[in-house]
Amino acid sequence: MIYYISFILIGIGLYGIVSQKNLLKQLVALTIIDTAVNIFIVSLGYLQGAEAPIYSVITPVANFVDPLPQALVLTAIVIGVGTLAMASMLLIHIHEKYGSVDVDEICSAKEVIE
Amino acid sequence: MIALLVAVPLAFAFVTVALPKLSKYIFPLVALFNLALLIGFVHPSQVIEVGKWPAAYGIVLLLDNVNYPFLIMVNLILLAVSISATFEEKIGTLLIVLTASINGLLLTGDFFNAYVFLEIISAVAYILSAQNKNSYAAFKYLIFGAVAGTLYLIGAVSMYVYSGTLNMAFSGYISAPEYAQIAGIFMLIAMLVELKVLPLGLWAPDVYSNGSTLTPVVLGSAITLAMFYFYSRVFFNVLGSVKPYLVYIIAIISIVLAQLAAMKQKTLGRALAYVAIAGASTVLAAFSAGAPGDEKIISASLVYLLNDVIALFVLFTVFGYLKGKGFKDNFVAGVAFSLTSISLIGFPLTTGFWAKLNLISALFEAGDKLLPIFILSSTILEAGYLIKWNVDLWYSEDENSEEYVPFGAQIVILLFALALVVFGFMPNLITDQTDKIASYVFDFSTYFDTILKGGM
Amino acid sequence: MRRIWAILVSAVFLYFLIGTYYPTLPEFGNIDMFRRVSFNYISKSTTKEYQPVEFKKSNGLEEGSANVVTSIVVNYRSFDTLGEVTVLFTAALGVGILAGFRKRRIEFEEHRVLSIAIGIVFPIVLLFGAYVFIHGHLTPGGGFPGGTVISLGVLLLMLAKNEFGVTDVAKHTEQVAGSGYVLVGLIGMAMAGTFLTNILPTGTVGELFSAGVVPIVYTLIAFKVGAELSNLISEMREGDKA
Repeated sequence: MIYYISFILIGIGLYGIVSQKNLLKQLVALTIIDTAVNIFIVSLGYLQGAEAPIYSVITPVANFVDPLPQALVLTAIVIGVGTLAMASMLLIHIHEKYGSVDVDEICSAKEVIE
Repeated sequence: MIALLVAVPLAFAFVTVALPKLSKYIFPLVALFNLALLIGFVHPSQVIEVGKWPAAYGIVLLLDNVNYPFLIMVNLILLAVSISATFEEKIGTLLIVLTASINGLLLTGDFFNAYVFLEIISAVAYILSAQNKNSYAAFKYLIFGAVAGTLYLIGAVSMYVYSGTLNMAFSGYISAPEYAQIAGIFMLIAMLVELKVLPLGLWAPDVYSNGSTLTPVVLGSAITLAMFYFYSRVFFNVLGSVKPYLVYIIAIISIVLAQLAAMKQKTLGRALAYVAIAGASTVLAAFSAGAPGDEKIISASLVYLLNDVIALFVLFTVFGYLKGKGFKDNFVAGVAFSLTSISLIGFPLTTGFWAKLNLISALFEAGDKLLPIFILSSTILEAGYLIKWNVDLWYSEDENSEEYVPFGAQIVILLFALALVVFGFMPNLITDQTDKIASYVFDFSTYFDTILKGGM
Repeated sequence: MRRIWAILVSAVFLYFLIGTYYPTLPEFGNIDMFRRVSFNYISKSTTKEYQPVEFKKSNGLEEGSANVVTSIVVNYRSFDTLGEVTVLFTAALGVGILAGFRKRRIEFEEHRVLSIAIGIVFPIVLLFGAYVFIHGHLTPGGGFPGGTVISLGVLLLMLAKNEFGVTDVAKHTEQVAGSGYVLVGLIGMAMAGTFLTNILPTGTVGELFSAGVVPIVYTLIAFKVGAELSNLISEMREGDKA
């Protein structure tokens, strides 16, 4: 069931990247795809009736879900943050150079420059 | 010892952040250290288990006969870039990180570790493509590249679900073949975006034509070599070919579109970008032609790849410095440009001639008649526009141009151009090496045994 | 025209994902843990025989942290964490390169409630961030969330007072912490033969001073991430100082 949610979110994100004209909206759609993939990976490790994988007072003996997808998602989230930071900086740059972040206006501004 | 190939550049990159002026000198030293380590101290078939955890539980770094020539070639190209390109201070630190991460991608034996190194290489490439105030092209590249990275991540995690481990050798051995094909499709789409195949490679013309001496050189030579190594490791060695017929058709469409577009360009930069796309698509089409396991085709296409990579290095460096002005005052640059365009077309007595001849004869032996027709017709088209560009540049009537090529860059491009001609006279130097690569790349049992026997 | 392409692309992808890919996945909540490597990660038995691990009783195992995800991220797959730290480093460096092209400075309007409350809130935020990364091997969290919370405290300070600026201390902290991580790996290589080996003794599962190198590595990562993100925010706001 939760697999379907993350697939639909990936579909919405891809629709957003291809169809939007504003570059900031394309960036938001990219973040939706990242989040959807992270949800999908964590849900691949769920075991019904098990607890979070930490030895503590509540669970002194092991009855845990799969910890490896959670470790992979830790790394994937950080990589997504790095990409988002670089893309935001590029958007600031584009705005300072062309005056807007819309694809049509950038293309017409480029032809004026050349 | 192999881990030093990744650890030492990374340590130096962290150190040079506070001393940016030294990064221009540390980068050639690091590349030289890597080359010395590779040629003198380590030899093929070594395995390191990072952290001393056993092979399927931890990460494995592996050096065998397939990635040893690739490692030497990539470090040599990075050493040449450090001498021939001009860049600002902070970019030097980025290039040292690029050295560490390309070495890591070539050495790793683990799917998720390859994802991390792929993302480091992509992050450096996004920043390099924003040079010369080319931010819009860099943004398009970032969107394409980030979606490709996410798809690769889904593929890598699927391999974990199907087989229970993330190690490449164990995962390829344990998982069921039809499941591995489905995970392979995700990884294939990700690699098609990076290899500039044309329906998905629309970012490439804008990024490669930004006119700096660093961006198209590094993206077109070092990163392309690393991606083709990774393609052949995953799809020939571990997973088995994924939908070769579909890749073949897409690559041939890409060759046609790229060659037609290259004829119509008015600026040299965009024409060279389409030449790069066509070259990469030809090698990809040759990788998927014929029956799986055909060693002659792989060996010939590796020679073609080497010729393509070195030629594009020289062509893009000359374009970056001269920016389309003439060769009257820059004799050395002009000679190097003409020699490499001749090798790219494939006139006799150059490496390109042997590459195309071997490739076409191997394809005919395998019974494939479609791709040789396209290679021959694209040779004719390339001869047309490359000779036209050469004539334009040698006889151009420009005013005094202050653009000149620095001394270090002149030496490097002249050496590379002469190397292409020398290998044309003695092709056995290269074909021996590529035959050896091709014979090991299909051998999954040797790969698995090397990892099972374990540590250093 | 764009919308037609967009609907086509996402429909093809959805068809592939739901039709071909979904049947190959195991049912949600019903995985077979014995076939996966995570079983040995949980019972900490990759190099020894299987023995059930118990909180505050098992001593001297091959790996000593109570948080199994931390043990994977910092100990079993430490090379991936080194790569992840490098991705953040590259992103911060890239923002620094792109920011230096034009001088800008974004001014904020000072809000009275924030300027007064920042004196109480900022130390609490720093304390919370420090708690998260110091107890990374006992509770959820670790170096990355801890460093992010610290840099959020710096962002709050930047929003409260207009004259606040991040100095070069951040850059030097980042550099020292980053090389410290590679140095820990190289020390492991010098003393035990392989890169990134755990050389300190692992104590009892669940104590604060346990798990070998793991708390040290997480502290270094937290300093590096905190300094990096503070630098990033400051460069987006006011361009490069150099």
